[in-house]
Formats: sequence, C-alpha cells, structure tokens
Amino acid sequence: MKKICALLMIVVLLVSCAGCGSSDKKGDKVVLKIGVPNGDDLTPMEIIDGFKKENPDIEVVLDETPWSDFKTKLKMQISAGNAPDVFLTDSGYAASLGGMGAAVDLSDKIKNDLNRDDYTSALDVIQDGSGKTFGITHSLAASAVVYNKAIFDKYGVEYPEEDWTFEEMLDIAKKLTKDTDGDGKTDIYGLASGENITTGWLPFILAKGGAPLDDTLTKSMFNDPKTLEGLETYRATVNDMKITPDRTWVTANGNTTTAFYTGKVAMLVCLMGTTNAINDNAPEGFEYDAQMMPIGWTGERHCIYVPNQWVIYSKAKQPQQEAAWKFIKYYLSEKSQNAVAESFSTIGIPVRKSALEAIDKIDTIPANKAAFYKGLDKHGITLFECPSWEEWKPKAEQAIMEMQSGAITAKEASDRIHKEVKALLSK
Amino acid sequence: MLKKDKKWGIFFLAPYTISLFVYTIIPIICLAYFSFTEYNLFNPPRFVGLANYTDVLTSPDTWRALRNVGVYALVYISLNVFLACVLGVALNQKLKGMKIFRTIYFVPSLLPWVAVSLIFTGLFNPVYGIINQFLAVLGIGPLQFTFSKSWVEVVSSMAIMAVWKGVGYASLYVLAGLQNISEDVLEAASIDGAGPVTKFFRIIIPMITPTIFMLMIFGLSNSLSVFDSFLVMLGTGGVTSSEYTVMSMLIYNNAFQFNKIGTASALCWVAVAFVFVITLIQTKTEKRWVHYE
Repeated sequence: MKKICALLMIVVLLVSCAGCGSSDKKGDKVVLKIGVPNGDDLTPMEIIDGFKKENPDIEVVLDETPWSDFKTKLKMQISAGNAPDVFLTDSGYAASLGGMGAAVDLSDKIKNDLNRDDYTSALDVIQDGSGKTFGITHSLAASAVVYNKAIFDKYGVEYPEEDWTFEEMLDIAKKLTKDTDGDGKTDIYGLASGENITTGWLPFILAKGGAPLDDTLTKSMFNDPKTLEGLETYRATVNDMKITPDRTWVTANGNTTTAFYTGKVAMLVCLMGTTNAINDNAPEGFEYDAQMMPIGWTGERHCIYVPNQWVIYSKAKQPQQEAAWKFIKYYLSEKSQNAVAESFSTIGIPVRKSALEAIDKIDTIPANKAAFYKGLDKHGITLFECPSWEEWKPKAEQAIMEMQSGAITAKEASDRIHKEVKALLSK
Repeated sequence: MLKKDKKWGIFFLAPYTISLFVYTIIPIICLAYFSFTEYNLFNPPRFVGLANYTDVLTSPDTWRALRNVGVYALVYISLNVFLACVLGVALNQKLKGMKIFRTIYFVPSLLPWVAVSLIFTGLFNPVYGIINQFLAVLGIGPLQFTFSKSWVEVVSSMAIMAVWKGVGYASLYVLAGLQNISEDVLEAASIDGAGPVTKFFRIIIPMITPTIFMLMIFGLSNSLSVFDSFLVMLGTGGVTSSEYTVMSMLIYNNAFQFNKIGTASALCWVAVAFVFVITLIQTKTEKRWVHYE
C-alpha cells in the first residue's frame, strides 16, 4: 500500500511539474517569449514570421490572450516572476510598470540604435521626469470628430473645416440638436463625446488651457481655474446646453457609436477604431466623414491619442532582453510598419513617418482618415500617464461621472479630484 | 484492521485537507501578512505596520462601501426572505402544474449576473424602461432606479434586482422547510379557527425560522460579495462612481487595478470584521426568535 501511495504521489508531482518548467535556451537558440494580446488582430503575424526568418538563432514563443484578460494575466505573471520577455500593453500600465521597476529603461537603446527622425514624436512618450523611457509605441489610437453628413445636409449646416474651433463645434452641436417629432424630447443630439478621459473630459480641459497634471506629472492641476473651466464646459454640454446626451439616453440607445450610425447623433468624438464599428454596422447609404479635433479657446489644438506600448520585462535574462530589443527594432522597420499601416483601422496608427503615407493610399471610409493622424506630430498629446495613472484616472472619472449626472458641480468635482490626486501623487 | 482503516481514512481525507491548506489556510495567513506590508506584486513586500489599516479606515471610500453593503443587505435580505416565504407557501400548494411554476421561479437564479445586469439596465431606464412605462399607466413615477442621483435609490434598486434573481432559489429552501411541518399541526390550527394569514404568521413562519435564519446568513454573505452587477450597471469603462462602490469592488480595484495588495488585504480584514459583527448580532438574537424542534 505504502509503495502504491508513494508511486502515485511521485507521478502526480512529475505531471504537475511538467507544466511549470520553462527554458531560456533551446539548443543554441535563445527562447524569446512575446506577449501579444489579441494576437493577429493587433500584431500582424507577418511581422512575427518575418522576425523569425531573419533571426534563426531566436526561438519565438507567443503568449496570446484576449486583450480584456491580458493585463490580469500579465499582472499574475509579473507577480510570479515569469512574464513574457517583451509584451504589448496599454500606456497607463506601461507607466505604472516603469514606476515599479518592472520595465527596462530604453532611453539609451533608442539613442544608440534608432534614427529619431524616422519616427513621429509618439515613438517614446512613456517617460518619467528623469528622462527614462519605459516603452516603445506599438501603435496609436488617435481621436477625431466624425460627423453624419445627412444631418448636416438636412439642416443646412456646413461640414466642419480643418481650422474649426471648439466654440464652432459647440455652435454646430446647438444647431443640430433637434426635437424632430415635437414631443418635447430631443431626438437628435448635436454632439456625443463620452465620460472617459480620451474622448470625453480631457479634450475640454486642454481646450480651455488646463491640464490634469503639470508637465512633470507630479502635481495635480485639477484646482487650476482653466482646468475647472474645461470641466464646467464639459458639464454644461449635458446639463445646461443639452447638446450632448446623458447616460440615461445613451444606455437606452445602446452606446454613443450606435446612436451615431443610427442617425441620433450628429457629431461624435471618437478613436480611430470606432470607425470599424461604424463601417460594420451602419445602414446602407450612411455617409459620414471625419475632421481633426477642433482648435481650443487658447488657439491651440490638441490631438489626444492612446499610445499602446512594447515593454521589455526587467526580470528577463540579458540574452532575452537583447532579443526583445532586436524584435522591437524589427517591428519599427519600414516593412513591419507598412504592415501595421495596412491594418491601421484595427491596429492603430504606426509611428514610422513613411508608413503614414501608406495609410493615405488605403481606400476606406471615412475619406478624411488623415483627421485622425495629421495633427499628431505637432498637436499630439497622450493621457498624462505616470506611475500612479491607473489610480488617479479612475478617481477623476468617478467624480466626473457624478458631475455629468448632475449630482455635483464642476467645482465640487475638481476640488474632490484635486484632493485625491494630490494625495496619490504625494505618495 | 483499525490501523489499516486509519491509513485509508488519511488517504481519502488528504485531497480535501491539502486543498484546504493550499487554497484557504495559506491564503488567509498570506492575507494577514500582506495587510501589514506595502506590496505591488513585483517588488518584495515591505513591512509598514498598521499604515494600511489607517489608510483604509480613514478613507471615505471604505465607509461608503460599508454603508452601501449595509443598505444593500438590509433591502436584499428583508425582501428576499419575505418573498421567499410567500412564494414557498404558494408553491407548496398541491395544485396541478405546480412543478412548472417552481421551475419558472427558479430559472432567474441560473442566469449569469452580467446577463441579468444588462436586462435590468434596460428595464430600469427612467425614460425608456418597461418598468416606468408600466408605472406611468398606474400614474406613478418615473422612478430613476439605478440612474438616480441618490445612492439609496441606486443601491436599493440593485438589491431589488438581486431579489428577482435569487428569490426562486431561496423559495426552494423555504419549500424544503415547509415540508417538514407536520400536517397535524396545520390541521389542528384550522380546527381552532385559524385562517390562512394567521396560520402563515403564527404557525408556518415560526416553524421555518431555522430556514429563515440560514437565508439571512446566506444573504449577508451574498451582499458582501456583490460585484459583477455593480460593475456592469453602474460603471463606465471599468470605473464606477465612488458613491456606489461596494467592498468587493474596492478590494478588486486596489489589488488588481492599483497593484496595492497591502491595502486590498487590509480591506479584506475590514470586511471580515464587518461580517463578524453582523453575524455576532444575528447569532446573539437567534435564541429569541429561531425555534428548533
């Protein structure tokens, strides 16, 4: 009996250990584990295959997980010390990893190995105050305003021009907000944005000359009068001007994107990826186009974008870190960046300047695709990512949600956010 | 022979005992340890004494979460227990087709929370929701439900939704309790002139108090672990207003969004203390109203 029990236990242990093992070398090859959320949808496999072909001394192992679960999985892998050697993640988490020391500082590698002039300013935006760079931009999800041509035509409003301003955008939205059946309820809203940072409140704050954090990303600016002004205007679009639908209306109509392509919203502030949902679901004959984010009240334009990042794991062994950098360099090559450009509407906008020209040649809707990337180099701005971004952003959004529902004023929201963000940043 | 039996006993107990250690006892010990440390899942834990507890207990979010859990539990438990008793008695009647009704009431408890939340987001809509359309016919409302600015209305609406989902399941426990009541007792009450209402409140309810007590304990545990529905119905992009936060969301956010394992662990112990106090009150008052045969 004893022998059988012992034998059983050994078998169980061996079987369970078999799955735990990982090797950094396979023969003479360096094994490089690449974390690619959403697999081929976000990182074209032809890039991976091309890298494998060019680097026969590197054995590539892909760690694929759906985007929604990838970060949770990655956090567990990091806590267990077995994260992929290089992985794709969102910019906020990349900044957070940089803060805790889990991301390799790439500033020297960028200086020594890349020709900075080949790339847009978005290449290396996740930095700390001391100049350390914690990631290389995989692709950009950039914002613009899309508009329903039929609604503009019906009410005789001219399509927005590239040099339009925020004030003009709000004026157009007022003109296009309509109660078409005279029942006292709005049927078409002039403008839909969102309650999120990228397409919701940050554009208004920046347009008024404010900012959530200072340039060093270490101080809260939510108590700044300009930031407050931005929040007040953002709040007014829903609560006073009533040109933007509230949460009740949006929920009843699915979401802002659905409301846009069903003709219930004239203009929508959105990211490039949203145009896929519009193109896939809009009824036949639905015509729309895009325009760059309008110029703010200060005379300056801000094109907000989310730069997803390639991050090299700091606990990866040296050969793996070198192989990971080789992979990133291959990803930034002209050939790979053109592959990104070909699928730009699902992946995002590439960072190599020459690849941007390739996008223009692609025949997709909206016609003015350039609205999403044209201003990036000059007016591009990210989401103020810093090591505590993942904590301060939800805090701010909690208060802003209450503000948009009308439960609190913009002043109350900004005071509360400032107090909470200040406390977080001081830690 | 006894020695051999002992060996087999250990053999059969081993899987449960090992998993108890691995998945329950060791995590509880870790939870206690982490609650005194600063730990971000990457760098080694750093001892910080009672700092996490001070942070947690001085944070308005913790008190809001406890307040919301308290109100949710109050509405959920009272409505759930009362309706489960009514439904249980109704389903205990020996009528044709009763088994179909038992199944119908049980079905909502099989639905996933996310699906239920999406259904109720539509039902609760103050302007377009079917509940308000119905209430408007009766000249009531519109009620704001989860779209309200008042946290009490929001949290209570969430509890009402949970009652819809859970009452069928709870009524099965009541049904099982009812079937233990002797027909003789009910018959004797009828002979003494007791009507259906008197029998319900004076005979049936007192005799199923152990079941009611158990449902209250389950209800408290369910209230404390409520999570998915709040995230789906009250959140935008994974963010929920702090006015409507609950303990499990706070714990999740701190642990997996903000990488603050220490704070999340301290919050767990606060939640444990909360349940302990409420359960203690329930147990202390149990003798006064729970009747065991």
